[in-house]
Amino acid sequence: MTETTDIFLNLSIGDLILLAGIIIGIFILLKINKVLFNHIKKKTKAKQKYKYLSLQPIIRLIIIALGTIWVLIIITQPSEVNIITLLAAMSIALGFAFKDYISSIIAGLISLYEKNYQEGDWIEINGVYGEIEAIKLRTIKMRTLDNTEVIIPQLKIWNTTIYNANAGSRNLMCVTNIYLDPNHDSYMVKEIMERVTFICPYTQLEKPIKIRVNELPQSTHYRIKSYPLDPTEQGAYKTNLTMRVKDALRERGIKFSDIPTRYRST
Amino acid sequence: MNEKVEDDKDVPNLCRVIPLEDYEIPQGPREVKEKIGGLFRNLFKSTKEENFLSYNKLNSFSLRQLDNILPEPDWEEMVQYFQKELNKIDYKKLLLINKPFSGTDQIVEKWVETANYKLLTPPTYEEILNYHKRKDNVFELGEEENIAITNLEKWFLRHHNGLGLLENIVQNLSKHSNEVIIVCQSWAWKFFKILNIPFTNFEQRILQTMNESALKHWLLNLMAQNNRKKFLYRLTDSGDLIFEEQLSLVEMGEEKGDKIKTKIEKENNMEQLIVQDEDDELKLKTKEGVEEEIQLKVEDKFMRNLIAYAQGLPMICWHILRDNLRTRPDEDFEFDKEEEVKLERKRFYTIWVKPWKGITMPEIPKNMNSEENILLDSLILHNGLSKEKLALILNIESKKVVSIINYLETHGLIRRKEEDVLNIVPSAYPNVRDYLRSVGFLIDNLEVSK
Repeated sequence: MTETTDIFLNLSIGDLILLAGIIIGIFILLKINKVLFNHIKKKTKAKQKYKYLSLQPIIRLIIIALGTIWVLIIITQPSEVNIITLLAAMSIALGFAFKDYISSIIAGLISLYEKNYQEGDWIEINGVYGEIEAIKLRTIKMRTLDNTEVIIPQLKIWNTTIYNANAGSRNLMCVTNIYLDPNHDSYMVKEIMERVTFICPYTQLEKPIKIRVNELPQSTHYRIKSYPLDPTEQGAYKTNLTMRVKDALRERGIKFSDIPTRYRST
Repeated sequence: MNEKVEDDKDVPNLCRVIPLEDYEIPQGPREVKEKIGGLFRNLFKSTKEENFLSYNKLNSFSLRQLDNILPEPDWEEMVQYFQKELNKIDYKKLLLINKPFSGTDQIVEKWVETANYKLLTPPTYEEILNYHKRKDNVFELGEEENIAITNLEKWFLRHHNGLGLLENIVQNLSKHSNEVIIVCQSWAWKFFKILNIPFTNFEQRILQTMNESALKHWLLNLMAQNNRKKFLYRLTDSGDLIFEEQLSLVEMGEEKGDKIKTKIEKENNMEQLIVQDEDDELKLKTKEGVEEEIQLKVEDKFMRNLIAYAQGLPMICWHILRDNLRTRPDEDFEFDKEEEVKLERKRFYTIWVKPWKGITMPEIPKNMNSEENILLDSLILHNGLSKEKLALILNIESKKVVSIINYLETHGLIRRKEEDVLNIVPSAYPNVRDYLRSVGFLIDNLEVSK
């Protein structure tokens, strides 16, 4: 125990100033990293944006890791005994106090390595669907379609299924649901829906457009699968497309399903 | 596939009817070496640039003067070449892809006036949108007639009711027993391809884009078209000529004894005259009467940069050049005086051109939203639209469309073409095209870069 306290007592004033300098330096570098990538996010064209954004958490991790090692070297002035003592003390304390926290950090490290998702991706975790705004060591910050910010601990990736809608690219498939009265010519309706989706200027034309039909007890369910030009505006895209499809169908006298949602099976 | 014949060289580049895969865009002096060189030059250049003349102190031309100096092309001379090219192709139905600002539609329009073809004028947008309510054919096509359409992009609207009429006319023309020529804007053509509009039986061709020498030739012809005066086009930063051909014009010169060629004045207010002596040599004469031999040089990078930026599209070059012509305040450009007519053969007038590095093209603002992008795309796709039709396409209220239009107009990207029809500014088109490609829009890519 005496040896452990000695580690800290041996620090000179110069060491303490250096330590303070390093910690301030780490914060400044983290801030620069954040500001720089926010700038890149705003200014870079959509295509390159995704490429650069995945670097942000890696750089943050490198800054923190190098800073921590440097601080430890100054504090412990490493000798074999110092390192073993410090590690033992740290592992016992952290093991008890920050079990979940550390799990999250480890999960964060693994996610950085596996790259299952990155900033700018649209993912669904635990029923929450949104765009990843930031990947931190312990948490993922997401923004949902109704502009709600959601913080999810990285720990969740251990045992949760993650749906990634665009996987690092700007191609994000949207599904627009339309329910019609079953009594109609479905060939004609499918053709109209295809045509309207192509005509919609918000649609990415070089990606496929698929229409899936599902007959339900008292309605016909059409699922239009298409890609918006801008994944961040998928909500607006689906709204626009739904309005256009409804206009086109109504003009041709096709009726919509009036079965209340609670009776509608999907 | 290449149908080159012996007299190919006689045909101006722009009139060569070629298969789509042979289309080539000119390259500018933009190689890596050039860029690195430019970087170093910028790094070490003196902050105080020594310009031959200060561009800002020069006067703009009036529209009337510009129409005299560099008039709008009437494409008259292209018609015979175009006919010659058509004779080489074995076609019954021809679909000509028209790159924006390439002039293809205007050449064909002019050609139709002399050919035995019936030109179909586009329907109104109301006719297009209400077509689904009619069951009949909109146009009765006489079986014996040859048919021409010079702007197929005006036959549809990007709306769920906006394609029926186009499909009908294309279908009917595919089955037409006589010859058919359709000119379709390249963006609309790509759009129709995605939509599987059946251009059955149609031979698909394009007019070759201009290269540097073709552009110079075309511009010099245009300049000579309206006036008998002789203009020298010189860069304000170096005083160099931009047309090599003009060098020989000066050298061949006038009758001996015609002293004054052109008058220039440098920043130090020293008046200089370029004179030609009895032995045909050009001399620089200062106010003090000192004579020294001068050599007019040619700066060829200006034209190379211009044609590369414009992707070989002549009307973009024409607009950029017209926008950047200036005159010295004391240069007399009165065109109608009789005494001037007498003097005209004796004198060269200098027209000053802004150097390429000083010309700023309209740039795409940062953080453009999807509605602004779509508006730009729609204007190119339809070759101009009114704000009402833009509101219909974007499916948003007119008030919002007006604010987007104002925003894009302020940035110099769009302009009012006719009364209420908006279109892309020609000099902005290459940047707009690159930008729309980068944000995932369908563009008209058919060319192979050399």
